[in-house]
Amino acid sequence: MMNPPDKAAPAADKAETENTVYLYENAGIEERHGHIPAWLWAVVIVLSAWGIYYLITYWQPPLPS
Amino acid sequence: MAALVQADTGDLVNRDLVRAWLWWAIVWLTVFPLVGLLVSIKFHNPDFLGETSWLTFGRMRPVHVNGVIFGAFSTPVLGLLYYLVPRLCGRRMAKEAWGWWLLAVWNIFLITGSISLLMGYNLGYEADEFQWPFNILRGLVLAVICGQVVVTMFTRKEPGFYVALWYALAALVWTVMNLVLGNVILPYLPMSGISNAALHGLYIHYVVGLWITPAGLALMYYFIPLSTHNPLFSHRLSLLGFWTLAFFYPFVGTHHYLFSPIPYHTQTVSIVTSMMLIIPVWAVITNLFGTAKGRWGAITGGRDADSYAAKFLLLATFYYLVGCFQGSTEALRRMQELTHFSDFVIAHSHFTVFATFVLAAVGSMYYVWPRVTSRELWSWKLASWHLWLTIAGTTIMLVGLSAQGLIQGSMLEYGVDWVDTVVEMKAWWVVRTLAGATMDIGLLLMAINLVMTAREGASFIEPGQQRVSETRPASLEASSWFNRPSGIFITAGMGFFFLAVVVQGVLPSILPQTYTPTVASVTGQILKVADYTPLEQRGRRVYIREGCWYCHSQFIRPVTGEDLRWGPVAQAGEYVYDQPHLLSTRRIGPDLLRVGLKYGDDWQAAHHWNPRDVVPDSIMPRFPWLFKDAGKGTGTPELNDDGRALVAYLQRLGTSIGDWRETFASTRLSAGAALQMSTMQETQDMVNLGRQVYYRRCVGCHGVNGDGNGPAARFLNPKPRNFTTGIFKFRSTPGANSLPSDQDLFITVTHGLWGTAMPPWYSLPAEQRLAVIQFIKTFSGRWQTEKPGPMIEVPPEPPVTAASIARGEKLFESICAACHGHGDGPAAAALTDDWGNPVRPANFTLPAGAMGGVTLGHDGPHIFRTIMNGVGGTPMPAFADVFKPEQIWDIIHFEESLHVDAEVEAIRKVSLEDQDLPRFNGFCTSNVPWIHKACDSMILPVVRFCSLDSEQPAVGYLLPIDQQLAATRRHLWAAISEAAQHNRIDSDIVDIGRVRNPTLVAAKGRHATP
Repeated sequence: MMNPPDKAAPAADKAETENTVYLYENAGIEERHGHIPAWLWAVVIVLSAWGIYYLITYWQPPLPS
Repeated sequence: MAALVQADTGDLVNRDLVRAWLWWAIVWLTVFPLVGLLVSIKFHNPDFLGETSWLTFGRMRPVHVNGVIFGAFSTPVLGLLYYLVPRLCGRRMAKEAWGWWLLAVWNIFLITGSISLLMGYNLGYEADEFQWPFNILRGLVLAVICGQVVVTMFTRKEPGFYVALWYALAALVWTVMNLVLGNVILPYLPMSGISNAALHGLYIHYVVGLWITPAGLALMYYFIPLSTHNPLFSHRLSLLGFWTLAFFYPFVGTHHYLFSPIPYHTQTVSIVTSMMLIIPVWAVITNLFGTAKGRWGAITGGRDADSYAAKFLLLATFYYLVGCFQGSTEALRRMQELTHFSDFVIAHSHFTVFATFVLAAVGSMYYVWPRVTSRELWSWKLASWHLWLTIAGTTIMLVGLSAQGLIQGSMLEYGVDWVDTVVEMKAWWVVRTLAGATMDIGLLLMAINLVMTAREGASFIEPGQQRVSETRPASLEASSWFNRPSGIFITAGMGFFFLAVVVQGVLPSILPQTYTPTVASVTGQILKVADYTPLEQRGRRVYIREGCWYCHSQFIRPVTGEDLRWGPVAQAGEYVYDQPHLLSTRRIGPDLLRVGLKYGDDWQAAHHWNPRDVVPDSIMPRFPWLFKDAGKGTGTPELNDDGRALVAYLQRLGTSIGDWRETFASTRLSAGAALQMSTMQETQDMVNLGRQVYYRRCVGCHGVNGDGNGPAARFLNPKPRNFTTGIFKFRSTPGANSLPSDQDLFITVTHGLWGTAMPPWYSLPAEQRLAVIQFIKTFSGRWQTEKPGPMIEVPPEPPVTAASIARGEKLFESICAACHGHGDGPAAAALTDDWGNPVRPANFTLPAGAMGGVTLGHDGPHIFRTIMNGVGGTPMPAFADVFKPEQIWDIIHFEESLHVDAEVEAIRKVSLEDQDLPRFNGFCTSNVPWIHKACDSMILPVVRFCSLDSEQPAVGYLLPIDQQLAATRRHLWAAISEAAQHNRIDSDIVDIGRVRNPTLVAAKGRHATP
């Protein structure tokens, strides 16, 4: 019987990946792998939705009232 | 386990070369912002450095803008590429020695190019002003450096490919292609003005968005981790920021020309992508501020070069957030209605170019300078002063300019006169100058500090860096195509660029509307647009040379009442022959699209000799070099060939849509109840207000004493009216030289006198127009001893028939033609007014605004009263005792037929396109002047019209308030449209193509108003 998958493992891997630091040796620069904050994803989604709406609505000039 | 990372740059970086570039960067960081300070002073002291053509605003402004972009910003960037690219690639820069030659060529380009701009060699495109020799020099340097960087990157020894290199690579590839667009395609590939504007919009923003932004971000991504001594916050954020910027930025440029004739959907795409730029900006901000996390105390408290580098770089990051959010929202249509053309735009450009990326370059220099001079920073106090002066100056300037834009935009939306909005700005501009001086002093301190560092700084040894955690080689994350140089070079650098140019530049250009040389007149005719004459072409070159287009747009938008302020909205066909297009992005002066025939040539001469002679509040420079001998001879200065050409060009502007002024400004105005002043105090208040108005608007021509001898009067013909005599041209009161009513003067002031220096003042509040009339009356004693008579009755106009026209012609030929003829009757040459000045009898065939034509319109009742009363102070006598009323109407019918004939002929000359004629049938019964005129002019589409609300003539709705006037106008056109839609149109077809004009008029008469 197989053991149930360890749900904590992917999260740990993710955290480990995010915390990985790369080194650009000649420049002396370090760079975290890091993550994209959830709030920024929300901004991306909202702006994309608005952009599609605006493109469709204002592709042609609105009729004069 | 923490460890120290000691980067050894000794074998990779040519410090001498980097130092040489940065020496010149210090020079240009000092010089070109200083030019901006001098330019800024001209806003509130327009005569400052104003007597030399080289030093006018129009010549110095491009030196400042190009100098900051390519001198103050690009010089340090290019120098720093020789520092960061080798270090990030782990090898020396390819063909590194070429950098010395490139530095020399770059400086030759900056010096000679700037001199050429001061001399007036200007290509006519904003941010693309240099002529081809200088473009070759600039393009050569950037292309070679691009090649050096590309080769170095593709042969790098460092396995990782850091985000700073993505931006550096993309910036160079984009810019080399953009220079081809801006320096070759825009000026030399024949295209219509609107196509030119669409592509130029892209070009301008590619300079900002695809050169300054990515090159600046390359510095920020490189130097912020180093100067803060922290790892970059997030590689994934770098990816999001770079690729969203690379995808969206190439599309945004059209937002410079919203509400223009550029296709609507093209504008919409630019708005959406402008807003989407919030994503990369916020990703970058999060990434860079995140990098400083945990180090703020050390940074703010640090007194070494690295700390000051970090302070400037993080300050730049903050300004990037604010400036770009401003830029994105500024692209929204409603925001742009309010803020475009104003200092709000200038705030945005200073936010992004100076406060963000020039400061980023400055911060980077603070970091690198000790490393390439091997000297410690000479004075942290000077660096601190530099920082705080920069913070103070930029904050005051940017908040102030933004506020200015909102204030001026609001005033214009409210309907305030243009010049009044300029006056409101003057105090703000003084503050802007002080803020700019503060920033420039900061830069000067930096220059002193860096010079002293190189000369006297203590010995500098590069410290090791504290590694905060275990690290892995960067090569492990550089496996995907979007992390590789080839992916960035091909997809971001070339793919997105070409996609955007095709979608936003090429596709709009193939739409017929952008290149068809036809326009619709205000009455619906389709007219062909003629090319400029050689004289007008020359004038256009002078207009470009003198930089008139930096202050004057040629682009009336259908928003914020611009069509009421300046005339009908811009149409694509008007720009067909405009290459370079001159739509412009800034209004320091009024829009000039419809300025043609608004003023006489004489007014234009006076205005260019000294704008403040005719508009005391003007901030326009003088142009004495447009006059013979620079106006130094005796007598009234005369325009030279350049000056005459410029005036010819200005008088041509906006006239392609035909004789629109006749339908724009009515003479059937009522001053209404505002004239009823019940007390002496109210009268005195009005006089006092009128005095203020007079000294700001009228004194230049009419003089301090009202005697018609203002400083501009010597240029003018006809001469300005001498108010001391109390004699006025146009009156509704009976008798020769009778005193006019206030309403008569109100009409003249509001409408202006076409073909003369007397402009229309409809943009002033009615109260001011009425007040100045009360003040004008104080110049003559007649107003104390006489009272204006009652308004003469104008009998109803009888039907217009061929017979009435023939009778009128007979009377005209026997009595009027001796003077009038077609403006050149046998007696005309000898005629003078009461002051001995030559006068021109009206030529009834000329269009509105033409010199020698009627000055107050072709309106029937107006001409009736003029024939009855004569023209005051001129040889035109009163004919009240000579003609019977019906004879006067006959003469008017003949005069109007002359006008209609001439207009039809003029339309034929511009190749009326028959196939595009609107096919309406019917006749016109309106007694509203512009409707009547419209019906006359439309030739075929003549419709029956009455007010929608009642059976009253619509003239009852004409009120001297712009908004109401506009509402009435829309109301009238709506009625016409509705009449057409409901077939309430007479079945008679009157075809001017087959029938002579009298028959048209006769046909109208057959269907005259019931």
